[in-house]
Amino acid sequence: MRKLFALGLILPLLAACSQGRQVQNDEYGDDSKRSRVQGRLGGSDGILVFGTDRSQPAGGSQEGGALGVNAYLWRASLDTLSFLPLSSADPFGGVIITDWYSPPATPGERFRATAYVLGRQLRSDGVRVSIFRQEQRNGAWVDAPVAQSTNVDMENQILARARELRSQTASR
Amino acid sequence: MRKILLATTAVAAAAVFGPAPVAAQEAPTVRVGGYFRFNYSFTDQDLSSGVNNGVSTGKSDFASDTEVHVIVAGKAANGLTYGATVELQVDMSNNSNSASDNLAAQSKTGVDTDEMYMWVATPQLGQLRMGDEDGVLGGLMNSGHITNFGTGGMDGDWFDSVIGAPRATTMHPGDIGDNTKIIYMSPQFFGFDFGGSFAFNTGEGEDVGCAGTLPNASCDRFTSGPGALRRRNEYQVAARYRGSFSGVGMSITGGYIGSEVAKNTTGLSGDNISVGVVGAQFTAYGLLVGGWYNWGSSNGGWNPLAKGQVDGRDMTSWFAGASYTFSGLTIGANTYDLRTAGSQSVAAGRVDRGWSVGASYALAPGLALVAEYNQVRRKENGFNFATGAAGTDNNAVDANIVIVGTRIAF
Repeated sequence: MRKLFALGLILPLLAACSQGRQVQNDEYGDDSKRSRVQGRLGGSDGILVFGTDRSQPAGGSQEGGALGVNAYLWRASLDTLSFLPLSSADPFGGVIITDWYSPPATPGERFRATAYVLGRQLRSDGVRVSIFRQEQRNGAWVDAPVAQSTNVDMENQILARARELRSQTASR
Repeated sequence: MRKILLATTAVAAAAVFGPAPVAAQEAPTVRVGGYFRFNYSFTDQDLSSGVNNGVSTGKSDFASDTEVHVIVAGKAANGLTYGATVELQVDMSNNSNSASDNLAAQSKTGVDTDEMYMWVATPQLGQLRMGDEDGVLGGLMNSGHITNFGTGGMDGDWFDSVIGAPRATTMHPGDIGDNTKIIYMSPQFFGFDFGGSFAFNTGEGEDVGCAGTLPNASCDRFTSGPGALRRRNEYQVAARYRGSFSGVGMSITGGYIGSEVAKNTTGLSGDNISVGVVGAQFTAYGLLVGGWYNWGSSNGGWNPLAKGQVDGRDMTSWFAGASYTFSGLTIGANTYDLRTAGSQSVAAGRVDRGWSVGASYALAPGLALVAEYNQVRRKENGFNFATGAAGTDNNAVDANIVIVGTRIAF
């Protein structure tokens, strides 16, 4: 018994020293009969009687909910492009535009990216990425070609991340 | 031990309320959720007539049920999230003749609380939950309990349609009860999260359980006395892994449920509860498959085994299920097998088992039609299920239940 309580003492401390992901309440089991019904009448999880609704409608995590585009693809795009400084992001139009970024290893070139999430469904053709590249020549930045595979690779990275997010939700 | 528990709680609380990164504050919200269901059931069961009292029963019935949930949630400027949930239910209300559960006599339409708890959480430290709630292996972090079709199959509404002894015992997640407890659940690290819960006893709700009387076995804080073998100092620990490989989502849980037993001063003492729990589930392309296995020292219904009896065997229980969802239709099946000592005064062990196949169709989000067939069976040689005592008659009883219904949730 004492060992178990010692474990109970250690776990929060271990958690405090580490970088973890916060587990949301809907990732824990719920033995109510209500939890076994798919979706909710009216779209939101319960009727809001006080406060401001910041949640997505039920099923929104799949369909996009309050977003104009698929939530998994949108979050995956933001995650994947997070190494670039963000210039603008429109969650309703599904457009992410980054600023220019020079990798430390190659200061003579810089990149920016534009990502379009094309719809509310999680589909392999639901995201398009365009990478732009410039090289520094004689003190000025000039456009340089980008291999077509770079765009495809980036799209695949986003799709893989979206699949991961979807699977995490499905296994709850 | 209490000092250690308090220290544990204090450290967790200090960490929770300590400095944290500035985050966007969110004013609390209060939501009211609800559930209503209507079932037609056709029940063909043994012992459907009263014993020597001239009573007989039919097979068809309509039955309704409802839940009301009040859900509070908010976020402080320091990143602390907090909230409370109160769930009101009708579905555990029975009449005064109920012998198979621990409920006091009450109206069949009476409303009582199911879960009611508050919680605080931070991204760095995880969540602390306090109140009448399932433990980490009482449903919160279990894997493999596949019930997302029909009314839930072997963890569904069949139980509400069966009279008396053919109500087979189950030891599913959630069956150990919502006794008032404190629960810690960690953040997720590399797919893993951990949890532990503790309850001093099996009491839930407010008060002491025996207010206005001299202390007796009904008191929440009952530790020793005549008669009762009750769980006390109940703890659950769990580890869970969730991830995906090649598009297959998986969730795997392992853990342990243990408790001491209140001391019986006038009869046989009891064995501590000591049960291991493992479970796993996998999902891909709309298919969900899973199962779990429990084993250890306990009698049916998480009741402690009395020492020195004819039969003191450990329990084992397994559950398996699968479902397939396409468009709004989910079809599935599940089955379970529970082996316990049952009546400890007879040598044979007890077997409770059942299987179910069913489907649910979502007419609209939150509005569903369900259909389900269930069969449950109980057997213990030398035990008469009709009289609840040793005997050669009624050593096996069964029930077949067909349910067709509809439910809404908001």
